[in-house]
Amino acid sequence: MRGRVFLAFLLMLLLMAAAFGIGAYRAHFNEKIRIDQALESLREVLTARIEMGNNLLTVAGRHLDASDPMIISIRAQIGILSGQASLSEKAAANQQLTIDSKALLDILEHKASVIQDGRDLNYVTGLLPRGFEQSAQWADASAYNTAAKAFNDRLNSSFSGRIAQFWGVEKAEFFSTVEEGL
Amino acid sequence: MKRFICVILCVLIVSALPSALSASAVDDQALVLNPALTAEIDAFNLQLRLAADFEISIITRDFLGGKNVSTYTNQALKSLDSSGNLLLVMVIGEDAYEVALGSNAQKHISHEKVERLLSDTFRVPFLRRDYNEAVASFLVRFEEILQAQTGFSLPQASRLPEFAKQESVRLPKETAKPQVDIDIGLGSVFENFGHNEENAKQYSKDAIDAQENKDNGLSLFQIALIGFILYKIFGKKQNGRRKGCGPLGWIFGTWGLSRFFGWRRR
Repeated sequence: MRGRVFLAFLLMLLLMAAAFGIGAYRAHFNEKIRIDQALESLREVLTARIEMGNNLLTVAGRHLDASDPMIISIRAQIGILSGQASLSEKAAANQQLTIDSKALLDILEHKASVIQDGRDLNYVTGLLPRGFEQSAQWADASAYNTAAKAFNDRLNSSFSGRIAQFWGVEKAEFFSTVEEGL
Repeated sequence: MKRFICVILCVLIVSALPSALSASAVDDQALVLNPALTAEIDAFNLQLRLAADFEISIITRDFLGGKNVSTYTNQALKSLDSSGNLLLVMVIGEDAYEVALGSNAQKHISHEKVERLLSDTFRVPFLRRDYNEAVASFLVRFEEILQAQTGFSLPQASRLPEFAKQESVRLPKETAKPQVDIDIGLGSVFENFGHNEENAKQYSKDAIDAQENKDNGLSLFQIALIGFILYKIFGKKQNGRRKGCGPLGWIFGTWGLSRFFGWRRR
């Protein structure tokens, strides 16, 4: 009789542990799905950056040689942003695109052929910088990074989070460069 | 009663007026066309619709963000209310243009013929950035071709030939691309500004949802209920007397444990 009671108690403990493990896994797995959704949305928003890069290349192509290092650099950043690169590579490309686009717009603004061309001067001093500004505002990765950090903290700081990690829930990746080291 | 009906009718007419006015076939996002020419095109379309049951829609944009102009034009034609139209897309910042023909337009003129027409009448002034002249020249020649087939002719008071030929209505180069307000101008810089804006809103919402993690964990009420149930099961002896702490102790204990195990809703 005592053996049966002990077995029943043991079974109850096992079931409780299993329920706890499944609950911890499911909760953190669902959270991770939400993080991945936010990341997917961020990727969608990054297309606006690619579009602006292409627009700038169109205008720059009329006034600079295709072998200009700035044009080559922007083309490379667009390639990374639209390809299958890792998040840190894309973050670095996005950052570099901001720097390069500003530099290229500055070069174009002072170029004689642009100054003589009312339409392109208008693009270089008006629409394109505003477009870049708007796309940067849309693709501000800080909102995603804050969510990813909060998730990682929950995963690391709670007992259930460690159980979830044990069962395969991975930490969220940051949209940041290696130097930023988030 | 009559007065009441009159008032209702007046209200309906006034409310319908803006939509009727905004139903122009010209979507000049790049702001390169003279408003007077836009009005002429609308009058032209009115006649064309009666004679041949289609219109000529025109979209001007600054850029397409790297998208192929032909793909964009075909997609834009499909999304138009009347996809039987002839759609001319002018991408000012890319020096590119494209035409797509809907089913009704194809009954009267072939795609090749329109392409030829554009090469003969539109291309040179377009590349010279005389956009008004380019459009007007195309429409005038288009009318001549259609006249033979359908009897369609320009409205008598039409100024399209003026726009196509005369220097007096040609805009000076400085005003060919006026400075525009940021909210108006950016619409023609991105391939689909509205879609990008929607994406940005969605991203912001998703990031906030992920950060707050509202749905997960037990609420305070659930914790209190579990604590009370645990007290009922384990907090009493078989004779009904209390064992250990009371219900509040169990509830606070459950609340503490839920924090330790990360079950509590944040």
